[in-house]
Amino acid sequence: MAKYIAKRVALAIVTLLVLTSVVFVLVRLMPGDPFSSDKMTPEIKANLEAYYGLDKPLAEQYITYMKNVLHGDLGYSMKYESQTVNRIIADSFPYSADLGIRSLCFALFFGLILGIVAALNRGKKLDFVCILIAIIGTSIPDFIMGSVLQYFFGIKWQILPVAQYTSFKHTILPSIAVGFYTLASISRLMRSSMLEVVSSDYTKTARAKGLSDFRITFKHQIRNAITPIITIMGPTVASVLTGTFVIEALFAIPGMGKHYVDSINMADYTLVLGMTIFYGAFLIVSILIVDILYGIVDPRIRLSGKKR
Amino acid sequence: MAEITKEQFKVVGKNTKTMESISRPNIGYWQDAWRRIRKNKIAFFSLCLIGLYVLMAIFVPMFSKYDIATQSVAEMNQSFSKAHWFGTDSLGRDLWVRAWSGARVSLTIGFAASIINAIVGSIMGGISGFYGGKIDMVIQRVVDVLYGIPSLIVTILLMVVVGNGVHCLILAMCCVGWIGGCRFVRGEVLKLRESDFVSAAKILGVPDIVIIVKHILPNIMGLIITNLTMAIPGAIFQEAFLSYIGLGIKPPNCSWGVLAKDGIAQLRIHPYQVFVPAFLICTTMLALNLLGDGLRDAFDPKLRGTE
Amino acid sequence: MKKKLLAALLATAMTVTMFAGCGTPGSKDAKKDDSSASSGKKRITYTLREDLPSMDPQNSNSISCATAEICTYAMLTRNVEGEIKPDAAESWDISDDGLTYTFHLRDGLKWSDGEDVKAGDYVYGIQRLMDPEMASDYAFIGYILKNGEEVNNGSVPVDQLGVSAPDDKTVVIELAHPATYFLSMAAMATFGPTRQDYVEKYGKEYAADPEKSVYNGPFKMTEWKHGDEMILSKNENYWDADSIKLDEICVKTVADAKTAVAMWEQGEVDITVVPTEMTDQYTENTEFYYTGADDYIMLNMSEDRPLANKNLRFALNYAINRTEYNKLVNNDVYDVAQRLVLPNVQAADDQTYGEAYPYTPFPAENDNDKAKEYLDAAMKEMGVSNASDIKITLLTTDTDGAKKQAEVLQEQYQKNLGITVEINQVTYKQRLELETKKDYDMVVTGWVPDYSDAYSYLELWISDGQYNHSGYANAEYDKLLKDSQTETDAKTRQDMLFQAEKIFLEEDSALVPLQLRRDQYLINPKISNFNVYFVGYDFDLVYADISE
Repeated sequence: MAKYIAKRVALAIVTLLVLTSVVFVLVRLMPGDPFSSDKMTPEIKANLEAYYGLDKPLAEQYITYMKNVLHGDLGYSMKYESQTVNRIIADSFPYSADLGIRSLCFALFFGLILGIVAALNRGKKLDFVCILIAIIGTSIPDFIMGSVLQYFFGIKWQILPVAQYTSFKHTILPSIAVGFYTLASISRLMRSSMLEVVSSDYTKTARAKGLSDFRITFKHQIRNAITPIITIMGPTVASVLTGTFVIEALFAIPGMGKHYVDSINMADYTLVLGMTIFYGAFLIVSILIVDILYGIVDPRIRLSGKKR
Repeated sequence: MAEITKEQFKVVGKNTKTMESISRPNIGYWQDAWRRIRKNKIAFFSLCLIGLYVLMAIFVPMFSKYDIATQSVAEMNQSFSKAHWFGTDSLGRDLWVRAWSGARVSLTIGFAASIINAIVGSIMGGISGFYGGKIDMVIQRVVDVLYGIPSLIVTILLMVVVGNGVHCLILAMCCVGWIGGCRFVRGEVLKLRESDFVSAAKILGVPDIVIIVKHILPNIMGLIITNLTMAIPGAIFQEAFLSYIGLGIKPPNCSWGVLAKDGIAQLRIHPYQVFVPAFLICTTMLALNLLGDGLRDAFDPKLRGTE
Repeated sequence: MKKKLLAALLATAMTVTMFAGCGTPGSKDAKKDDSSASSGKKRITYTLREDLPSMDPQNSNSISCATAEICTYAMLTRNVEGEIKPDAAESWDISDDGLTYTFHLRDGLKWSDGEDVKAGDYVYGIQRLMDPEMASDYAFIGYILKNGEEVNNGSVPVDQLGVSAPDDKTVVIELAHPATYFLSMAAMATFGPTRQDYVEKYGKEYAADPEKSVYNGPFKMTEWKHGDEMILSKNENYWDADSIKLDEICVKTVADAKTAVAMWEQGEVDITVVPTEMTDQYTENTEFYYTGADDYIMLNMSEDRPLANKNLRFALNYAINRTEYNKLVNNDVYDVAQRLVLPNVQAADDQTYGEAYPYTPFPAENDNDKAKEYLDAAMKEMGVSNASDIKITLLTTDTDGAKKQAEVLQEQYQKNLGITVEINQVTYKQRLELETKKDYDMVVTGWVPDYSDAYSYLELWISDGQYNHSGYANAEYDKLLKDSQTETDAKTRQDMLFQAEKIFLEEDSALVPLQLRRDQYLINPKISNFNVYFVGYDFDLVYADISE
């Protein structure tokens, strides 16, 4: 197991380095440059390029940047001139992560329940209702979902605050808006995986032994049906925890989502790279954790883990 | 009592032609799936709805008396009426024709991007899974790197190279979109590679290409098609997101994403403007998802006996 | 079944309590807000779409930065609704040639940390602005100083910049050319004071956080949660602290304008801007203010381009229905523009430019006959028989309004002239790149002036001007502008500028005026003394008050 993890970590580092290099080149190919604005003059731009070292040859810039990255220094943002990229991430990530965790809890809890209830009532009305909720969740684009939630709960009925992120009440609407899509995919996956388990031999055995429905469901079926959920959790955790542009903008949450889009639009080279590295590392780590978890939950996987 | 004599019988012999024939009509893989889809009312209805939308998308813009670009100050922000079935937008343009013209764009992007993704993903995943080893290793690392590249950068770069429009969006989605299919097909192929029938074929000296086409492909075809219907909503969503942040197709052309984005700005004043595209997007997604569910059941050999 | 239900209920309850139990990243401050409200602090909250990029006065590169920085710094002068009042400088003398300004500082000026404000702090600030190593992106504003441009491009050392402090109470500023508007520029934070010890201590991170800078203005920054909110609290060390009524100004970042309006309705913010689509909904507690921005279609008049043809440019100016455009794009919130210079800017003799020189070279609504006439002439010159063979690209960006603008213009030109207009929608950065490369025909753009003078709009179109991406070159125009720089009689100078504007529009039809931007603000009715001005800042909360 330790050897397996070590190998995976080594691979992850190589992947990250390649990713950083590719994005380093790609951002430079983008049209425009970080300093252009309606009032920029060539002379001032030259000063700014010298200030950020962009006047040096690209190869030299690359080596300097990579050296700094290996020391954990992501450089200064080109738009927020006095702030380091590390600082921007440190400021905004807690908000996105908090929102992400809340929405994941929401999605997991209700998603699993919906999926299980639907599977246990296959073909009945309850099943149809659960599927409908799940599919509606995957059918509405998040900006419509968020706007509509905000309009009804925040503005029309005034039950919940319209925006910002300062207390539990403030977190409800954005958590639902972010989590609903995940909820829907979890419940659908859970339903189909439960259906497989329901018709499996060990369920029949358990039933033949005379175990109660409740015991069969909780002790045998759910434990076995849950493994596919864990596989999709890796990428989901990474994308949900690192922020969502639309919902954060709509609910005025100072998270990371905005920086993904804005840094690219504003050609803020250092911030784009910093975001890419952070997201890449987060993604790889969460997939790794999920793979390890998978081995713990499902004993059959361990063999194939060794074989790899 | 009549006597039965030997003469009354004659030897007809073995009919080697018909003795092993199948008495009931032979139902092939596809026919069976089609039969089951038709039986599944919800899935069949979904299929019809999508068909209807496709027809509307083709014909409404062709025959409407309105044009997607014609503006009118006198008819700004009008709600549903006889003249304008879906009302008009903030520039006084007819939303009925814009909605269906948007359907053209959204559905084209959705279908084209997911079909290309499914094909590329299946090929890459198939190679990766079937051959394994170093090829697998290289493809998987490429996938990891691609996964990390912000898709917005790719889209912007492509816009510079090929200009903005439907083709640019499709290309942009394909750059990264095939990864999902690749991962999933690889997993399936890995499982099948170890199966007995593939081993048998290998021992018999069947060439790799035949094994892939004859033995592996039919086994995962259903799953690929199911995945495809589920991927179309994803592509339509992504187009909507790109429209939301302002990157998308060339104005005055529109897509459902563009209409939804324009409508959201009017949510509190003229809610119908967001209702129209939202309704179309939702029903399409709903239909595609239900169809996908139906297809999964239809293609799943395990569920053959359950009906 | 009952058991299942019970289990589900229990689990729900657990999840909910878990949700409620863990605090949000900002929850501590929420509590503090409540306590401050109960203790009766006077506080005004306004919203911004985007957090400020910097609070470093020499990096102040946007109107929203300036709006916050006029609160935290006392510049030599203070601009109150266009009237220049003394601030840190008690009085000033201007030399007869209009080139040397001598400012006399007040006694007892203090920084928020208790140190004395010295004349050297102002000199250091201005030198820092122009220092090429500091690389301020707003350094061009200081090109008005003697040696300003030379210092900034590195050809002359910083100490030769035309700014000096003969003693601790006197700041002497020398200009490159006479400029009556310099006193209003002296009120800009870019010319504000800066403490060398702080800059040296924090280096690149100077002013990144409240404690990494020091303030001498009516307010000091006490909190800055980046991307979320900034709090400016009253600075007791300000010389005029007795006249400052507010205890706190809170600047909130709310990216979505509709969200900000909803927050205003619920009383969470006091001042915000209404998006133009929603303007009909708000007729109370609302005011319209000119932002100073003047939007127009910039035309690419380079030789190989279709718009090098003057008649075609005239056709464009006559074929557009500005009234209809304004209604469709901005819901009539903006004003129709028919000329280049914003009429509100200052002219001689206490008149505005619009009052002194009323002028409408082009009609507000389209004049199709005249447009056709010009188009026919243009087609003859270009050797084109079919109007639709004239293909023009309209460059536009991905922002909210830009797409709508482009769609309306395309439709109007195709309908009224029959020419082919193709929209090229790109990112903002790419638009700038294409403009610089002159790879476009038309682009909707605008100008926000830095000082209240017609020259601010006219200097853009000087043949070799750094912002002139239109290929416009007219020797007569250049000469008028150049001469106006040395003309000391204010009236004659304004006449020359008006003459230049006439040449630009009437003779050359070198641009299509579109609209004068106005912002519609929602303002808490309890606020008094809320000042708005169209140059340099959006609004001025320094002397504002809010009743209980």
